Amino acid sequence: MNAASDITASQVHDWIAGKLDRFVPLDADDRAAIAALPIRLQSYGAGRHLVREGERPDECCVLVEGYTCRHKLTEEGARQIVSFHLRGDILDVQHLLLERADHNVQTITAATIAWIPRQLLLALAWRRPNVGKALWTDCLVDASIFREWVLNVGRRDGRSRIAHMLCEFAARCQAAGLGSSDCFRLPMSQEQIGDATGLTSVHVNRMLKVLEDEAAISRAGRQVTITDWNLLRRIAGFDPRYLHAAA
Amino acid sequence: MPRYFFNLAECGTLVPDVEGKDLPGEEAVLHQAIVEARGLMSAEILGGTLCLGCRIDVTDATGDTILSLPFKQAVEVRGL
Repeated sequence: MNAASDITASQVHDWIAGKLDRFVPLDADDRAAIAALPIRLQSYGAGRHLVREGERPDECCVLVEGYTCRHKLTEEGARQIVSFHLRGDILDVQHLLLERADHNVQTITAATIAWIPRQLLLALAWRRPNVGKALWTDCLVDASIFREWVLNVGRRDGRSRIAHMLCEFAARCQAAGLGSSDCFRLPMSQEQIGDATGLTSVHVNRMLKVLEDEAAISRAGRQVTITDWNLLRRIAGFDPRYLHAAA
Repeated sequence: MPRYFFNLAECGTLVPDVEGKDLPGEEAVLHQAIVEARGLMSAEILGGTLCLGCRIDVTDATGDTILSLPFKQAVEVRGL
């Protein structure tokens, strides 16, 4: 864990304000209040736990660089990844009000996290209604994405699940300014994609190859190009409205 | 832990595993191969066609095949 050197707290303040402003327009006082939040920047390697189930977090985290996931484990240790996160995502708004973590938050790649004291962010949400409403909206968008993932894992076949995951990841990468929606790098291993879609690694690999054979995508290592968006969207049953134009 | 690669051989087509998985030893490799085969077979059954001739061929980091598991050895089939 090292202090991140190339990102400043004021950049993080701007990103948080920018994200919240997409949900609810912020005024100058809202922005000034956000800019006064203390930020603790910290870098992590891949595979590090940021929050563990059962803990009582006293800070909230914003993902500044890299990729993370939220996951839960069965008694036997089988992992279900319940969400992927990329730059700009606020990872645990729920801990403003729920004291105990009910899932794990883990880095997928090396990542930089901005930690904000929970009580100060909570106080800001009460004091500045625009900020409070925007944080609430962020939680609701999270919940909408979770609902779509339940549908994906519960009711779509393997090919559609993988196609849907790719469509969502592409759309969110573009929204986060991490490349075009046609071409992106998958930071997740096939095992992690499998844990997110309820498939095994070999099944994921096979479904990616099927999508490639159908000319919906092409791959070079983990670099994915969506060569036929309409086809991939049709295979996935992907309708981006559940992202609420914000993710 | 050594890394093993779970390649899928299905009806003349090979789907190579380029990422692999770190596992403690051959017992874990066999277990993982069975899990992989069963996962694929489950999806095939839901799609209405099951090929018992496919295999999971496991290679080690040097490319040597250390296990070849035909799908039919991954399940007990009764009533045929």
